[in-house]
Amino acid sequence: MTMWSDDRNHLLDDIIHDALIVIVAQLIGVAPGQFIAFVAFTQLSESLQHANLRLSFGAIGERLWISPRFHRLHHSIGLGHESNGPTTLGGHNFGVLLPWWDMLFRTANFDNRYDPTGIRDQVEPRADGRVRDYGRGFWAQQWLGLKRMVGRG
Amino acid sequence: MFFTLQPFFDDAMGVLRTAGWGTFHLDEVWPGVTDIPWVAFAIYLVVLDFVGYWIHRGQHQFNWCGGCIRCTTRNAR
Repeated sequence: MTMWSDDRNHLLDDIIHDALIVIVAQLIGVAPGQFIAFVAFTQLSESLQHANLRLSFGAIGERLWISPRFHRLHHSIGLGHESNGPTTLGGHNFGVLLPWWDMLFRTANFDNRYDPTGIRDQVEPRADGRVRDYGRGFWAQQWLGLKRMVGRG
Repeated sequence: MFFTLQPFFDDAMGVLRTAGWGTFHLDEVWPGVTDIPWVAFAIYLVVLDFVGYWIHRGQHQFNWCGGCIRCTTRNAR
C-alpha cells in the first residue's frame, strides 16, 4: 500500500460512490463550502490511512479516528475482505473517517497486527498455477472490470 | 470525473429546486446551536461518514462481477 492506494478505484465505482454522497449531501442540506471542506478532510485522512506506515493512534485514539493501522487491516489478505474464509465476501474495518460504525455494527478489529496486504487472487496462484488476470495498464483494467460485470470477462 | 458529471448534477438539482424540493437543512434543526459553523460541519461529517460506511460495506457485500458461472467456468479451462 502507498498513500495513493486510496485513488485506485474503478471509474464506475467512483461515479456510483460520489453520486450517492452528493445526493445525500443535497438531501440534508450541506452548504457548498462545508461540502468542499468535507471532501478535502476525507481525502487527506484517506491518504494517511493508506500510507505504508505501521502507525496506531493508541487505545483511545484508535476509537476516535481511523488510523493507518485500522485501515491497513481492511486491506489485509483474509481478515480485510473475507468474513467466512477464503473467497467469501465481507471483512472488517469498512469505516472511512470514524471507527464508530464498525464498532456499532460489529465489523471493527482493533488487533495490533500488520498482516500482508493485497487481493488474494492477485497474489495466490490458482490450480493452473497462474494468478487471476486484472488487465495490464489503466484502460485495460477499466475495460476488463466492465466486461466482468456483465459476465464477459 | 468532476468536470464531466458536474453539469449533469447542476441541471438535475436545478430542476428539483424549481419543483419545490430540497429545502431541508439539517443545521437548522436547533437554531443557535446546530447552525454554529463548526457544529454544523461536525454533524454533516458524522452523517456523511455513516453513509460512507454503508457504501463501503455494500461494495464488499455483493458480487458486483466475477461471481457468475460464465466467467468461473471460462477461467477454469
